Amino acid sequence: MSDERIIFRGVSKFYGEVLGVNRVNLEFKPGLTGLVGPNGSGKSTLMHLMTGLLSPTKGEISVLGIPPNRPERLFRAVGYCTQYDSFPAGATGATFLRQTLLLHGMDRGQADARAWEVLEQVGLTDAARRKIAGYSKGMRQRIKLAQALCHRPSVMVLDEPLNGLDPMGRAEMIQLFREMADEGRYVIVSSHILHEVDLISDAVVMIHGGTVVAEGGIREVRAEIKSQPIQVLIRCDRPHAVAGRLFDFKHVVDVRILGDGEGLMVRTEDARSFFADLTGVIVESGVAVETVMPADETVHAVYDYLIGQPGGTT
Amino acid sequence: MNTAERSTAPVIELDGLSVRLGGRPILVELDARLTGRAVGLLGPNGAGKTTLLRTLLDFFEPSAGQARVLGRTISGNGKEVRSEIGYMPENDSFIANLTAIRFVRYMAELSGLPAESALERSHEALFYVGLGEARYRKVGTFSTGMKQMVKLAQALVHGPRLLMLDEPTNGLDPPARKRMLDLVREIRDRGETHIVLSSHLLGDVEAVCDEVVILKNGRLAACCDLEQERRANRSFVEIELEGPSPDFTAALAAAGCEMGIQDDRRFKMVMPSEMTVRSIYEAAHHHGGVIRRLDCKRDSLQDIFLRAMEDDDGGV
Amino acid sequence: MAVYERAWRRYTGELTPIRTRFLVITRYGLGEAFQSRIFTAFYAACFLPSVAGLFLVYLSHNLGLLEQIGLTEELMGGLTMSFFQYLFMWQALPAFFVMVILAPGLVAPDLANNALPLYFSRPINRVDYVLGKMAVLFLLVSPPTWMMGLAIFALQAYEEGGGWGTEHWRIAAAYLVGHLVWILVISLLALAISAWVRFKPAAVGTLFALIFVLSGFAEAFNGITGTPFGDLFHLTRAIASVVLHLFGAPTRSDLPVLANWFTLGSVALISIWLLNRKLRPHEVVR
Repeated sequence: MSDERIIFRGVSKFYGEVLGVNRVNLEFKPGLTGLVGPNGSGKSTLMHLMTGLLSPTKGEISVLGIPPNRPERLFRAVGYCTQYDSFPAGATGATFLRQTLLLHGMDRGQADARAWEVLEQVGLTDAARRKIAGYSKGMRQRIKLAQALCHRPSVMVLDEPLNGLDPMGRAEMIQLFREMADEGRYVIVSSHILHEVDLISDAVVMIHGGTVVAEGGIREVRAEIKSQPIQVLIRCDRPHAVAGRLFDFKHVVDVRILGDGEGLMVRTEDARSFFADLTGVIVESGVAVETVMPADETVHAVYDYLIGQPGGTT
Repeated sequence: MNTAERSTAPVIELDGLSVRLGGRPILVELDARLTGRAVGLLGPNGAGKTTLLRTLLDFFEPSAGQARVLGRTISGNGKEVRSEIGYMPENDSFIANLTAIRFVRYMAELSGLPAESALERSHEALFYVGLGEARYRKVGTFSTGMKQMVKLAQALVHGPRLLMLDEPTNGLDPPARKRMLDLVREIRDRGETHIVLSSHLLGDVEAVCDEVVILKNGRLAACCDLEQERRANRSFVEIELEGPSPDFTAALAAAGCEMGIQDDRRFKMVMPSEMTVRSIYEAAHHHGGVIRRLDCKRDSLQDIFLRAMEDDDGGV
Repeated sequence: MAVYERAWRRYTGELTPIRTRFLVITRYGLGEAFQSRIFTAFYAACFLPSVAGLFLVYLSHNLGLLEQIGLTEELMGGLTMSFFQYLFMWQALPAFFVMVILAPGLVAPDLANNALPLYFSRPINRVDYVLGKMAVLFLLVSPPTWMMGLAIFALQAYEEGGGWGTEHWRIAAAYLVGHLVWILVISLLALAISAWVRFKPAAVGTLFALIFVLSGFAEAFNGITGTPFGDLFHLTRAIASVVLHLFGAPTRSDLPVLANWFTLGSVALISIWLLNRKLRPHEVVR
């Protein structure tokens, strides 16, 4: 087993009969990894297994060479931000962080300094002296993130970390995660907001029904789904003119005029040839083009293809 | 797509509305006339969004000014105003030991529907939000997504003229989020009901709303018509090429485009006013550039929002 | 042949009148109450004292029957005031238990999962809410108490004949007013405590505990100070005294009956104050 990575080997977790995760084989690389999947798919189970809060029914897990069942070693290297809110009663933001740092072995002076450093990073310096019980949802989220990263861990496991944050807060935290990922740390973020995952992730792990259905960079994953020709969205003023000309090309399998009549969606089996041919079409037809965009290289599209749309909530 | 005409009768009117809570000013002199089919309510944490929604529901008395909903002043007409509103609060809100159908019926009857109509419409509402056989189970046993759907159903069941949704996609996984947003768009497009959507997710608001109100520190930071914004400012372009094409890039620069190069394949630029996208393609055709992605970027909601946040003070 | 679109539509039909809307709360509250079979059985049992009372009244006027049973001597004296007083107490006691057990189940589920905003975002205000819930308690507890009481009184008056009814009008008045007063005070108290404690079993416990604690404290106060002023806190004694006074009998307390009324009034007002504070559609921002 390599010392440097986060590795799951043949990991299964069952709660009695109930499935948590089933035969998971994963290797996380440094950088930002997005973890996506429907509710109940095993995302949280995976995170709990990684942080040692659950032990696998079968298989082995190794986090930077440390087995998760050694928390005294594991949590030096790992920071965990849970989905749920739970704080020591009566603690203020500052005392909570300070105590966490003391637990990590810092002396009082260092802990104090570092606590305030982190509070500034998450934007809680004003509220730090108030009790956490009085914090708004967004503030509670920030203090949770603060305690996850205050000891400068190499691995950060974040379960829905942007929940409850306003747009600026989201942008700030995303920036922070990106910075940490660029420093070579492992930042694992689970989220339902797929376009954000798209924006920030270096790689994606998609999980469904307790199994990993895809992992890797999103473009590579998309390219591997051969059963689906790639989709390209074109917004222009005379979609029918463009559509007609596109059918001249053999690699185009499907053209659909958009519902609002202001564009078209094309499916083609050969992306490269398509874009080259498109140039000619646009010049010849003289249409005014607003947008040309591969439409399904996003996490969202891949999610739809691989996980599909479970019909409703029965 | 079935789009209804934009009516000009204001849905919500705020006249110097101020609200104080716990001795602190939460909303300060809000003045606005909102006419959109779907109005987005945005703002940082603590800006007063939820307080505004609650004031419109007559949960709070204004300390100054007044507000009108669908033409009616709220003060003194609380019950009449609320008859026309359906509210979906942000936090968990349900009665655990009632079945979904009984719960929605109860809410429907409280809104004034006679018992039989209440039962009929409750089933319709639950079908509409996608709750099948689960409706005969107690709400306390539901997952987050299902509870959100029940919350939406109880807001819809009495067919209100104004639907107020506070973070409706909270806790929903991607397919459920899509379903929720699709539903909201359907309701909007039907034209019979106005929507106010308060959310932190700019994407949600962008997908649904045609008018946006941005609050900051209890004041109105911006109020804009997204439809208009979308039609403005077309000369900013983002381009991504299949492969590096220095001739093409040079040609664009020579034609007068201001280039901001990210790497050998991606760049943003501002076209000179006489230039059109077609000229870009002509240049590509001529110089062998293959354009993989091209986007005339108008002000997205993100830009509008960040600008609104910056305006009052020096930095964001 | 037609294809019907199944889309959501606005409602354009009739609406029920706003003034009586609170009765929806009552109807659903009653529905929930009878979900439990144990409760239904217990509720039926509340009628037993009244049924026994009816039977005794009937018996006392049918000497033939009495002779058969052999109880002639005991019941010959006719029914005295104490009969009615005992009956009142026997009716009130199980009814009191019904209220204390039922009230938390009316309010706690609404508060436990923050359902109040959904109520108050409709044409319902706090007054409607409290009235609706109180109506459940009133409607349930009235039949086994004052309704049966008045029926028994009517039977007695009929059997006795000769203006017995008009002569003893006080008994009827005592039943009506007495029951209504304690029902009102206890229902307000029970709802207030339920709104405050929010958790069903805890609310029931708190209510019983409160009654006991108040009584205990009152007795202790009386004992220590040697005055009867502790009775100001003795809720059950205040109720008993007020009722006895209505019957024209000597009260249980050494305080003037006005003081007992004062106790009841204070409890009612404090309950209303507590309800006002706790039934909000929102949390107050700190």
